[in-house]
Amino acid sequence: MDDGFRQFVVTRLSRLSRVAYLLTGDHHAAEDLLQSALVKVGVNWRRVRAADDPDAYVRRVLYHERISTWRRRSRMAEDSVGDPPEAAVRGDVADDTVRRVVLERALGKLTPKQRAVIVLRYFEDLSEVDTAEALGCSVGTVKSQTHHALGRLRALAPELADLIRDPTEVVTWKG
Amino acid sequence: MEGLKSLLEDVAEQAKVYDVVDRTEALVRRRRYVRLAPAATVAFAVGVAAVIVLVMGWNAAHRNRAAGQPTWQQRADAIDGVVNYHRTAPQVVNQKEHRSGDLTYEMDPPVAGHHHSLWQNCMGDVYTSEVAEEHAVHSLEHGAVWITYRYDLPADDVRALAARVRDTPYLFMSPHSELDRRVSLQAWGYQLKVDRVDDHRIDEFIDALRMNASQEPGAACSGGVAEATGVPVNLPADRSGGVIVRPVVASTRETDIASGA
Repeated sequence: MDDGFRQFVVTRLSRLSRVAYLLTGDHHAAEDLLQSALVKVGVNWRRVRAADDPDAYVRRVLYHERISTWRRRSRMAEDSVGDPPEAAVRGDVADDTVRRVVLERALGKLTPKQRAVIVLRYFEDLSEVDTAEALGCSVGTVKSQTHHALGRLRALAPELADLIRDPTEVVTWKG
Repeated sequence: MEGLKSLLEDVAEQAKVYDVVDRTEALVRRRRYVRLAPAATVAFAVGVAAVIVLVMGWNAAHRNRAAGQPTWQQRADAIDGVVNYHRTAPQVVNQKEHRSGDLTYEMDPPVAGHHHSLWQNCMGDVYTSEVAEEHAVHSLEHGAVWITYRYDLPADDVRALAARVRDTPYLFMSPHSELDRRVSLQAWGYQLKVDRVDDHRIDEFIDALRMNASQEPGAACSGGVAEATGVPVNLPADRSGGVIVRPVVASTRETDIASGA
């Protein structure tokens, strides 16, 4: 199987691992997600390699896989992490670790699609158009999902609200 | 949103590098084969279907051809002058038991009935003297056609008949006294009498009835009585030992005719 697939995987592994973890928030789930997505890519590798942008293809597979996996398991317990711990939040907000934990738990409360939108837009820095293409949905959907996701994150992690401002919102300062 | 981005990066830092390379490669290799499976399955199914169609077509053609052809019974009945005792004397035709001693037969020569437990050899045997009817009937039961001729049949005609009979399994011939016609052919339940050895009905009779008229398909024409003395060999009715006693009398078949007697 010396057709460049292995080389491709090795060079992308680190970055894809991080995306997979962000999408799932769990090491085992991230590993499973990454593997099943890569297997799909590998089976169609000849076509993928011939495509203009193999990375975009892989991204599409990864996110679809995540969302469809979630659909398959939607009747099972979600990766819910319970409520954000009050005490920790009340503590030193500047503490990076606490802020990370708060965000992780807040992300866990999002739907997979909302979560995917957040990762694509704010971690992978994709435009709304590229995000829409990766998710196979319309730009309008990306906009509304982003809006809902940010709103939920703000509600779930109010102490991070200053970091999570919806750029589409018109911010009005009252008093 | 720089703040959110750096927070997300903090979260992503928690990820390990999930080394799924080898497992992924192995799975991909397997899947690529599996992906061939539907095509292989379809190809196999098409092959099987083709074979089925061919076989069915062949069967249909074969059946039609068979349907268009008469059965051996129809061919036998179509022969001019043939007597079908299955119709006229079924009670005789259905007598198939083994008996010992001298038996008497309604027809002459006999075409069916109880008979001796040993059969006359009928592997194209040409006998120059009379065979015991009790043995010959047993040969008919095994599917042989028995050709009998009157003693006044010219020697050339006897030779012609012998040439027809010799070495053909389930066929045998012998002279027979008091025949009302020169030649008489017997199969189990059937009889045809003719005056000329070049009569085409002789071959028609043999073709239709040899082996087909058998009451015991697959039963042998060899391993029976080889001599022709006109009387049954002396054996008890129940050969409980199952041993076939080979006759001690030398065979009189064929040599005389071959030398032009």
